[in-house]
Amino acid sequence: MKRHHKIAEEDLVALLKERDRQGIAILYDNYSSALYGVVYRIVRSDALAEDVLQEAFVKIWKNFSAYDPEKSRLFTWIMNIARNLAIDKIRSKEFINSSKNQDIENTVSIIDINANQSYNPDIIGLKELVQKLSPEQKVLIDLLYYKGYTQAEVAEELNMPLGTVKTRIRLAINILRRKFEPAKTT
Amino acid sequence: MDVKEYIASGTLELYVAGVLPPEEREEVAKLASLHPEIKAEIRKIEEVMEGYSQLHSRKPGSELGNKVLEAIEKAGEPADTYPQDTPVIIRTIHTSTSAAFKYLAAASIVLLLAGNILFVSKWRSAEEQLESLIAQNYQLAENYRQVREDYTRADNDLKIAVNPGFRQIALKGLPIAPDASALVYWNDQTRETYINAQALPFPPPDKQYQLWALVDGKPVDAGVFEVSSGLSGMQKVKRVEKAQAFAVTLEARGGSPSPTMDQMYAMAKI
Repeated sequence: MKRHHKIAEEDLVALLKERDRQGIAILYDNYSSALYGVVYRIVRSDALAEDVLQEAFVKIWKNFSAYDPEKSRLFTWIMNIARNLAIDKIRSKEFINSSKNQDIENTVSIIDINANQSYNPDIIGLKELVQKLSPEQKVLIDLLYYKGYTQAEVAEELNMPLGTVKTRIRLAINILRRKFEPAKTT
Repeated sequence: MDVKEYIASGTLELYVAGVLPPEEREEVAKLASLHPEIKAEIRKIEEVMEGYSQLHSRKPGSELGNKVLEAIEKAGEPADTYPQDTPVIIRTIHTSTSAAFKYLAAASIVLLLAGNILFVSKWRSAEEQLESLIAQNYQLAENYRQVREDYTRADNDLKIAVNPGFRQIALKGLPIAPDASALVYWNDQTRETYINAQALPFPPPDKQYQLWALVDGKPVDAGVFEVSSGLSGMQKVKRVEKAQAFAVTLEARGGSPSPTMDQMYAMAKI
């Protein structure tokens, strides 16, 4: 049965670096839903998503010595592994055209509030901030963070000048950051 | 490099998304290790995106957890060292009732495990040493490549500077940047022109310096060039047929058909 384990990130990283099976079990309990959400967004099928998630955890386990806490947070690293595996899966099945041509409504997935999130009060506030994002900003976040588009690919897809991709994503993230920095004004 | 401007540029947002090409990713990682504010900014962006991903989470099937743990067992350790018979000994302990046998089995397990632990820890430390040597090797190769590149560039610059065919014109900074200077090397036979502009202030990312040749009172475009932390030495600009003076202005990236007079950073008469 899945629970959320309260554990400091550095302790979890230490367990995983030690190849402690408990570490991977905790990682699964704490992060599998978030990773599954990322993967499902790309592959759009539970059957495929389950395969990819399994491959992702195995890859995370086997390659954990490559994770450098100085370079990134744990979630960023595992999320990139899961996302890239999902993208590879899609390419191998030649879903390229259908997934990149999704219109804006499909790209923005419905927020799934479930019991797993009750541990984190920050998430509730973030939901309101997400609603402040324009549809274009949500698409920008989706293409860069979840579909792995490069700056150039985004510029082409959304028909915007290359330089503005960077400035616009910065603006979008800044809006979301208000949740984590309540005292600041933009 | 202006740290605040760098942070505001959106490059870090792209870094966290994992969509920068390897050279740019390396550069960000290097800057992050040099500037704590950049590292802190990266962490903040990561926190935000973690929250965003959590918001969009989706529950996988309930059996998936077990499937994943099984797959991990099958995948084994990267350095799979535990010998096959260890599990057998453990099972034997559970079924046996003889105290003496239990004691013997426990003792042999301790010995076996102790041996394994020693073996595993030696194996791991050898593995780690190998990884570290490989990384050092790679770093040495990188350093060598960089040094060779720098040497080639310095060598080329020297050839131009000592070539008697090239006239050296020292541009002096104007009030907008009194300490600025640049050196123009102009070969008035071949018309080749180079500029060494490292003493100009680094421009903002959306602007670029442009060289002008003053010909019979009119400014003629001699090309745009880069001034940034990654470069040193001379850059080739456009051929200059004739000039009575040279000037450098700061224009929008890509240059401008005519010079912005109040953005003139350096000039000199020949």
